[in-house]
Amino acid sequence: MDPRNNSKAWNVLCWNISGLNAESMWESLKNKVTESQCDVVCILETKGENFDTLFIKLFCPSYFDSFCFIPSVGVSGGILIVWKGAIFDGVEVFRNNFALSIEFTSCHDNSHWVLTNVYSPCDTEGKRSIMDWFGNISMSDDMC
Amino acid sequence: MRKPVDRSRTGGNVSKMLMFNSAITSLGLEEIPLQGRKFTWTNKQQPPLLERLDWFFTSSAWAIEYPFTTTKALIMETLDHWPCVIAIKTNIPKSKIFRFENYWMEHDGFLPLVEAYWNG
Repeated sequence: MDPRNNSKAWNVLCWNISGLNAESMWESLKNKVTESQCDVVCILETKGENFDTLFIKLFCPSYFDSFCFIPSVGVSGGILIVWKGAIFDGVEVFRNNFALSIEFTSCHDNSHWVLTNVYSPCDTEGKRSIMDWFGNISMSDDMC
Repeated sequence: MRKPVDRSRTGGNVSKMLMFNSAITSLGLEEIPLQGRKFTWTNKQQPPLLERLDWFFTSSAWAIEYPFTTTKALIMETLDHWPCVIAIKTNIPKSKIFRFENYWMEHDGFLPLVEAYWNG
């Protein structure tokens, strides 16, 4: 059915993890990164305000050397995208309180596409503002 | 959630589903179906409430460029959301080079696995 068996697949791991601060979480995440053979890791609900390379190494192998994030608001939300710099050049093209978009350019064939991660807040006010935004955007080549 | 069946019990908010669906339609997004699981979130109670809270979409232009894109959920042991993997088939030939990653040796399962294969 799939004629591209001899072609490479880009794998994107997406996981809402409800907090990236527990040590037990790092181990689970590292296992899923390995299991999924992913090139991009998208973590929703990081509940973290800041990330650096050293921290990311706790749950991603070292060839995941590029990242971008939006901080949580207090202990709510937060998006972190980590990717292999040998596979993709990534440039942030959009951010707001609920979404982060990275334009990826393949280091193999120069094709490019945009990945958008969206996290909807749980409270009523947050839900209303994300729907206002979501209902009024116009995007071209996009994936989330 | 997009439909009442995206929840294991009745009681989903239908007007929010309609809003979500109409935003998806007006953006011209196409859903990448999730294979192998109906729900991606559990409240971890007994009996559990299960919902489909994680969704994956592409633009139609993207879907034409990468028609062999699939989404699957991985096994989840502990958390309330399942991890999902989007696999995007490309036209880039697979490398035939074998690469050994040093961090494999740090993985708890590495030695037992090598030992098992080594001993046949």
